[in-house]
Amino acid sequence: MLKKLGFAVPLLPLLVVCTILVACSTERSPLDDSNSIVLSSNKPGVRLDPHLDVKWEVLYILSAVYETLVYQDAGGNFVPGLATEWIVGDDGKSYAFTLREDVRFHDGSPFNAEVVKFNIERIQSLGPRSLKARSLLPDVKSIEILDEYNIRIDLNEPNGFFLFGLSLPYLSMVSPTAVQTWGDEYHQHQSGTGPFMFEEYLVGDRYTLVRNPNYDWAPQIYNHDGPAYLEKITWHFLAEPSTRAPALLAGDVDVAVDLLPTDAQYVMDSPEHTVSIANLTGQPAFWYLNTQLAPTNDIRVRRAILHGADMQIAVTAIKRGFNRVSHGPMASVTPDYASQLEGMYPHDPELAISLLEQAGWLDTDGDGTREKDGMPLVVLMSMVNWGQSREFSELLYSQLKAIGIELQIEMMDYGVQVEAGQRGRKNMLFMGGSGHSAFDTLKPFFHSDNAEQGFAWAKYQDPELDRLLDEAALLTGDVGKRTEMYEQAQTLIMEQALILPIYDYALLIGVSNRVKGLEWRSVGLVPTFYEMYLENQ
Amino acid sequence: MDRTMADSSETVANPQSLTRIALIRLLEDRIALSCIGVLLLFFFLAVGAAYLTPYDPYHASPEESLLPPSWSHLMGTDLIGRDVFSRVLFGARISMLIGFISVGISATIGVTLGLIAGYYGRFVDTIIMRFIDTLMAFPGILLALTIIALLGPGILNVMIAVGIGGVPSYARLVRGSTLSIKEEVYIDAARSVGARDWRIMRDHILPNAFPPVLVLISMSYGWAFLSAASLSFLGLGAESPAVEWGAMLNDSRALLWVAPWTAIFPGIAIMCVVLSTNLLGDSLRDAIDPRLRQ
Repeated sequence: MLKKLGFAVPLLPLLVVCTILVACSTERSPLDDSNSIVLSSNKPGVRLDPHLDVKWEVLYILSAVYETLVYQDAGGNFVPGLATEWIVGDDGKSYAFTLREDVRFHDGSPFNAEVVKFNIERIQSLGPRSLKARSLLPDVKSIEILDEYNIRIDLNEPNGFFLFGLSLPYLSMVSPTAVQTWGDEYHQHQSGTGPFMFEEYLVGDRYTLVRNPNYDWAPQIYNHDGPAYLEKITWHFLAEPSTRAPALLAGDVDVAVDLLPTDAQYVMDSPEHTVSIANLTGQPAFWYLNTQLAPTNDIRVRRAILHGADMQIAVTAIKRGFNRVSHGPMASVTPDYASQLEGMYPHDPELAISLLEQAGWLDTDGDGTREKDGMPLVVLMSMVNWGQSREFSELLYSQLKAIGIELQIEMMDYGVQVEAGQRGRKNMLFMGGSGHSAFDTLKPFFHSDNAEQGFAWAKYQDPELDRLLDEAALLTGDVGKRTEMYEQAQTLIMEQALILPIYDYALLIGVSNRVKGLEWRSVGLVPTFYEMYLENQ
Repeated sequence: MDRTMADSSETVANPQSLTRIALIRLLEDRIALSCIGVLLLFFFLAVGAAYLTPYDPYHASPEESLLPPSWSHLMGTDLIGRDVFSRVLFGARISMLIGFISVGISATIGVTLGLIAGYYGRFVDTIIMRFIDTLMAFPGILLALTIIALLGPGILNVMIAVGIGGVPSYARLVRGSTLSIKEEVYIDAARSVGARDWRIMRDHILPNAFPPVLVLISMSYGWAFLSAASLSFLGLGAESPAVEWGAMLNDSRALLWVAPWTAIFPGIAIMCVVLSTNLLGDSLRDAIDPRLRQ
């Protein structure tokens, strides 16, 4: 039989030569172009429109194209952006903005109060098509244009997070002229006021930005004025995460966004690259514990799961120490985070076992799985294909087996998991990565109103928790009081063991040493492309 | 086999001697012997997995994450600290079983359809063979993917999907053999003494049509095994945390740089099994090929 392969033998040297030639061939390196930079990240949606999309790429890429009315500085304080000043009414329901007068869109049209009104009305009219921006807008009662550069927005009820929402690129200002001219094709003809202008968007392949030569209205958070340093930014979309580190090390890209933790370790070993970590605010990765479905309807079982799981060691192994272990429903860098939750559920298998025994779960037949009334202690879990859910699920399987709980894991598509969560079909469901503040991280995921239709899959019904979440969101002036209420809510969530927290989200960014000035701010995830330059400039 | 009838035939040789000759030839073929050796080795490793390794393939020790191969972990450990050696051993069970059952499904359905189509001919033949042609229009793995999309992921569904994907080749092979065998005199003889159709098919046609099927089983095992591993690699096969070689490869895809051992060992195991079954199939074909008889 092997003789039949004989014809291939003379071809072997040819194959070797071809392989060597391919390996040595030099494609044009982007580094040759001294004023251009190439980045890589995930594949975004087809339409990369700040008011439509929810993908992180809106924040990475479009924050260079668009600007917001207000910005947040490093300390989380609101500073002027396209609005130079604002006055919040005493009742917390009215916001009067004074706008910059020297701003023009990339298409040449001027920025004024009409534009702000148009943008807010556009987001409202998009309704459910807007995957994120709509949820950041409060309940707007009316918008009044006072003069060309003064506008007042009145709300139906106070909202403590309006300015926060306005500082995120999802609520950035798009050009009314461009939107009206291009309609559904707007994403191919984007026009903002930012330091970079849209040049080309090849869906699924790359997104190219060029410097805005007329830019002269940088917010205070930056260290320089005038146009950006770089002439061009090209985003390549590398959908497969494991290809980003090789692309970075090969010099195909200058910055690789969202590296795998295992690859980041490898990139750190390279003397020509560094890895920076952006700890993200908002929701950590966690598993809901369903309070309505047996056996997790018993709080002792839920607490046993929290004590039986050792997420510290899991995060160290799977995230290679780059992410922080999570202790509650908000990442530790989020404002209003309750640090007192840390240490609430130490890894203690003995305590977990005694809790299960108190709840009547005993291993009577010696098969390693506990039983009660002839029923084995089986916990149904849904696994998804993101957030390294598989690795964490399989590790938890092993940890819970040690205390006599059998985890039955089912792989689910996102849509299927949403249905399973809303109908309460699983005991544990994976969630993570949504939201930026206490406002959009807690209420949508824990308020009982969102149990049937939304994402509150712990299905916990408690008027006290609902009250805390409702009232804290309305507080506009008293930050101390708001923080106190959110801390109470987080404590309640963890006391009731509604979730098993896993890890805080962190973005790993591999950067070539030639690239300077690039920072990633955790709040709002906005990178400082405006300040970025190449060392030899 | 009815000896009188077989002897009355001019072209069909004594099946006893055919089997014996084939067996002798196979045992003289060193490649075939080493393939059988490799497959038996994997079989015993799979059966005795629990006695050959001190580690539970599901037990994660995250403090031992990504350890390179050493005496305590012969094939290293994976990301969450499971012993790769014990996972390869236990993985052999599911992986090889999926292959066997898939081939079983293909052969059972395919041979039955082929027999019926070839024996009855006319419109029965037309209907069955056009159906088979439709299945053949899709590449096997694509057909399996389509079936998985309909049935949903899981080990059982992978077996069914890969099994159905392999049906056309069996049906066509057996139909061809049946068409020629049913013209034999001993079939006429059987019919003349009043044997019913199903008995003729079972006792007279099937045994004579079977040797090539045996070769096809051996040859297509590799395909079925590889397809099942591919489906698991795509996340459509074994449900977590079940151990399966294709799924192990998928898990270690992102670790190729930092921990190549997590991918190399299951990869080698897959290669050994597929290569062995394919080479064994070749040898088997040579062994029972009447034209090569000396």
